[in-house]
Amino acid sequence: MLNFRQNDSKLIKTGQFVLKIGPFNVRVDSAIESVISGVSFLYEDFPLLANDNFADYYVRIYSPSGVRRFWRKQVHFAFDQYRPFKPLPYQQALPFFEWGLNWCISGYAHQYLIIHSAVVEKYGRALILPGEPGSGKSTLCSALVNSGWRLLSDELTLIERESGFIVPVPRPVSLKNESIDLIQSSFPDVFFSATFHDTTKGSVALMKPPADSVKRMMDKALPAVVVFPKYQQDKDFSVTQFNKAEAFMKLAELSFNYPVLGADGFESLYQLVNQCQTFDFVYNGNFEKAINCFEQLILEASE
Amino acid sequence: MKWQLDHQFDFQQHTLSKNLLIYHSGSGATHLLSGDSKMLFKLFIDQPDLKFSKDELCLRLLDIESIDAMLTKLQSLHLIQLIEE
Repeated sequence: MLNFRQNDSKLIKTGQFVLKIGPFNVRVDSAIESVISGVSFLYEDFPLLANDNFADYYVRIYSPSGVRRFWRKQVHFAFDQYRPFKPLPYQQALPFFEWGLNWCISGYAHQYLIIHSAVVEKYGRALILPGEPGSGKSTLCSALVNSGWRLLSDELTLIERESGFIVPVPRPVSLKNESIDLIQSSFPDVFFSATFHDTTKGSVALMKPPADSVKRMMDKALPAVVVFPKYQQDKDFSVTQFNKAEAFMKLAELSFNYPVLGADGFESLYQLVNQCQTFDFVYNGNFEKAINCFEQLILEASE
Repeated sequence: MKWQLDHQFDFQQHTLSKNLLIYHSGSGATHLLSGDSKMLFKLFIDQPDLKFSKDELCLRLLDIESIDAMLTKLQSLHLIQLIEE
């Protein structure tokens, strides 16, 4: 399988290609230059499949017809020709693709238990960082993957229901507002998309996933540690053991499809929590301390 | 009047950190029971065919103070039911 880097640029320029992203085949269809160039750049290391391949998701990003083509230009997201969202400003086409794809996976991939969390791996063990927007999970996730950890996902933790293993979907990491500058200045060699301002989430930039994480995207990982991060600038760093039953309830709340899966979801989540150590984690932006702490936690869990 | 497990529904249970997690097949809800409410519900789920009057429950669970409130709570969650003898 070829990736973007090796592929015939003619195919990419058509704006119609099938990307292999972890366990999913995603058919992308867009004539919008910022989407084509943005996806080509951010997904450069992902395999491109032949266009006649089966696709799990058919995703189309396009400009509406009519007056909106000229006046306050907008962009639509369609999934199998269905438009689940209102249009967004044209400039936000690339993040719209990312958000839309999150929606597709979280709404349809019920072969997995899906938790709203970042997840990274080291020594074959996965560290899960669940959290609401603003908890700092993506910031921590990008700091970790730029410090030797493998990116499994920035947004969606997919747990294989039968085996309990975590299935990687190492897509771009979405950073917001202050964390964009923070990560760019802390890790100057990392590649980013342009910054998109005035989105519903504020300013957003997408960090290109490390090539090694993409290369290993079919290698599943065993869950070992769950850390609930909380970014609080004025608080001291702290890590405390978190009651597993409460962690279960919190993860159920943060899961996209726990209610859909019913009793199977209950069993899968129990297996996950039972095999993991669970912690509450408050950090004030000191990455070095946080990374050392996670290293310690994952090593202890691996013993 | 006696209390017993609500047999209209199936339950799945797991214990984590000494708390009881219950999956309720009827509502699809998950309940976390700890302390006294866990102790009380364990009595029903471990002996699903038994019925208990309030006096019997008070005798078995001497340490529980507000047994009425707890029975009402478990009933409202459709975990136990009140039956006429």
